Parts: sequence; structure tokens; C-alpha cells
Amino acid sequence: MSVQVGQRVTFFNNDVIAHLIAGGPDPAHPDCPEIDSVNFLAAGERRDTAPFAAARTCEFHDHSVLSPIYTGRIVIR
Amino acid sequence: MIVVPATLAHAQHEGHQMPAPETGATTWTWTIDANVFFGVNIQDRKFRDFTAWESQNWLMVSGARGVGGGIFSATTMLSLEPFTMQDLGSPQVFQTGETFQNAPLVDYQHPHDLLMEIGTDYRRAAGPVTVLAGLYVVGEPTFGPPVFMHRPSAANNPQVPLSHHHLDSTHITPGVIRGGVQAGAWRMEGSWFRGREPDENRTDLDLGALDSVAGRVAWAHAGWSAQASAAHLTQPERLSPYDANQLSASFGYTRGGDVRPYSWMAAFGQKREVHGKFEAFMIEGTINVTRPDAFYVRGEIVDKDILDAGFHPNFFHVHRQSRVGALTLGYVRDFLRSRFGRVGAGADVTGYRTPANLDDSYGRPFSYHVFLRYSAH
Repeated sequence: MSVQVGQRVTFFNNDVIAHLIAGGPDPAHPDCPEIDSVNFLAAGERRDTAPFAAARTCEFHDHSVLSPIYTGRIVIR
Repeated sequence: MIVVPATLAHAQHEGHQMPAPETGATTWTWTIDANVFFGVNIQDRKFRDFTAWESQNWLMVSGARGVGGGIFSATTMLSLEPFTMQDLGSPQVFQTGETFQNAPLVDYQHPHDLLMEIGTDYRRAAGPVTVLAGLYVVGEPTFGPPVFMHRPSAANNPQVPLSHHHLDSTHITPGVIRGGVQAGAWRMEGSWFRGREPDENRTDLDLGALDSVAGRVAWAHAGWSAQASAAHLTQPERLSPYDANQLSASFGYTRGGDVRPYSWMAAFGQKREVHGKFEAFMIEGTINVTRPDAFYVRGEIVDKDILDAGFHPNFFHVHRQSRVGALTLGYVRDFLRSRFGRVGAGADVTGYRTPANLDDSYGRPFSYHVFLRYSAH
């Protein structure tokens, strides 16, 4: 997905299990601290990232589950 | 010969009641025990409620006879939970332990394996002491209080304690060799076993090298009982490469008979992991105010790493801890009683204490169970 610099992205956990959203492609490569603001999401919970400060591409992953199903990318323009 | 144990008839820390034939008996004495709950589990949470129709259940069969001047016994214990619960497990606020689809379970209690126990014991008097030995394909190492399924103080409660993985989760260990001595009210015992928790296939055997050890000192007298135990577990978590040490201590009292039998137990458990020390405090009890009417209660304070559960390759950090609390009040009434067991109906409510670091995600959850219960004793 794409957003403008200064915008936030809302993560909504519509799964039946909790997820731990963190910036970077995997736990070994943390990146994009704006995404770390989402952190732990219980089933049904939603939370915003911090405003993205610069134009770049940010990847994110689920810190508790090693699965490509739970990764993604945000393009900040 | 078949023996069905009487309600609350055995001391808390003796665990499940084993048949006790004379040492010279050449015929088998059999014990059958079972507990089956079926009902609705309602989890009232901040963002999404969960409701599940499910059954928690187990069946145990034990046989014993005299052999060589001692008593030989064989035991097996089965659970149909792999078929009577959803694969993900039973929804339970703040519960953790084991995995589903390689993700750590959070807010779910895993189903127990189809084969929960199978093995043999031998005990023989040797002077002032009795020597104990056991060999189990699946069984309990010498750690912790009796598993909740065999505790009289927990017999009426369909819900697994939040402290299960601090106190008694090793009860379905694949591969256990244990031995010890008993002198009067005291028992000292040790075990060598496989420390890894069961995998997600609930119908297989997870055998492997015996790599973990545990020791326990237990005491039981006139209804009172206590134990202290310690264990070193080699890579107990399937997702994590780290070892762990565990400590536990517990004491309790059980009064059997037909006049207001009751049982209670208090326990402490501590997991020492690379991610920190996680403690659990639990007290639970049940009392029959009349023969068919029983009330039960359980209070717990348990440290959980809900915010950082799981293993993060090539990235280490100490897991954030959340000290959660739970208080359960329940009631069950038997409406059918025969020599084959008892059938009753019950309900309970659990209120939870949410720590500050989980408050945004959980608020003030409650959970409820309404159930039918069959008990063989």
C-alpha cells in the first residue's frame, strides 16, 4: 500500500489470534520505528503507526510468527 | 476386581489414585477414573468475544498385581480433546503455552494429546523404606504438584489453570524413567526424561532422547500433603533453542468422606528462562456443601510474556513480562449418581486482573463456562 509522508497506517487484527507488528522484513533486521508503535494487537484490536517521517519503503512482519503470510510493505511517497 | 475411587478420597499430592492390591496378590486389581466436561465457553473481551462449544475430558485405566514381593502396576490415560476442541485450542484469556501452526499460543489452551499417559510402576518394601521405580512411554516426571486433572481441589473446574505451564505442564512428557524411596510420610524421587513439550500433532508420540532431569521431595499425612521440586528442561519450547529451569512448591489438604468433603491446594512455581524469571502463585479449592452440591474457586497471579511470546531468530531481547491475575468462582450440582459415576451441571465465572502493559489490548475481561460434567468417582 502507499501513503503520503506524514500519514499514519492503521493495522486491524481481524484474526482469531494475537499478532505483534514490528518494522523491518524480519526480527533480525528491525527498521521503520514508526511501525513499532503498532506492537501487540489482540484479536479484533486496531492501532495506528506513528506518522511516517520520510519518503521510503518500509517492510513489516509479525514478531511472534515466522511466516511470510504475516509480512508486508508500505510505500511512503 | 474393579475399584472406583471415592470422591476426594485421596490426599492431594498423591495424584491419581493407584490400585493397591496385597503384595502377594496374583490377580489384577483395576481402577477406572474419568472426568468429562461438555459445555459452552464464553470469553468476554475488549475487542472481540469468543464462544466455543467444547469438551475437556480424560479417561484413565490402571491395573496392579503382586509381582516378586512387590506391586507391579500399569497405567494408561487418554483424552479425546484433539477431536472435541478446535485445533487452535480452547479460548482462554491470558493462557499461553505450546504452539499452533508454529506460532506461540496466546489466549488459547492447547488440546491435550490423545495418549496422555502409558507406562508401568513397581514398588517393593526394602527394610524400613519402599523402593519406587517407573518407566513411561508418556508420563509424569517428578516435578510439580499432581497435574490439575488429578487434583481433588480442581476436579470440578473445567478450566485449565493459567499457571499450568509453571506447575504441571510436564504431565504428558514422552519418555520418563523415574525412581525413588518412600519412608513413612516422606518420599524422595527423581526422574530422567525428554524435556521438549509435545508437538502440534495431538495423536502421535513425540519420542526422543532423554535429556532433562527433575527431583522432588513429597510429604503426605492425614489428608495434608506437600511437595517441593526442581527440574532442568532441555529446550522445552518447540520454537526456542533455550534450556530452562523450573522450581515448584505446593501444599494442601483434602478431607474425604460423605460429610462436606473439601480439598484445597496452594502452589508456587517459577520458570527460569533466558528471557527472565516467570513466577506463578495459585490457590484453589472445592467443597461439597451437600452431597450433590459443590462450590469451587481458583485464584492465580501469573507472569506471562504475552507481548513477546515466541522465538525471534538472530534477534535476542529479554521478554516483557505481564503479571496477570484471575479469580474463578463456580458451582456444580450432581443430578444423577450411580455406581458408574456421577452426572452434574455447573457454571463458573472468572474475572481477570489486567496489568498496565496489557490494558490497551484487554481491558477488563471476564469468562464464563456452563457445562455438563460426568465423573467416574
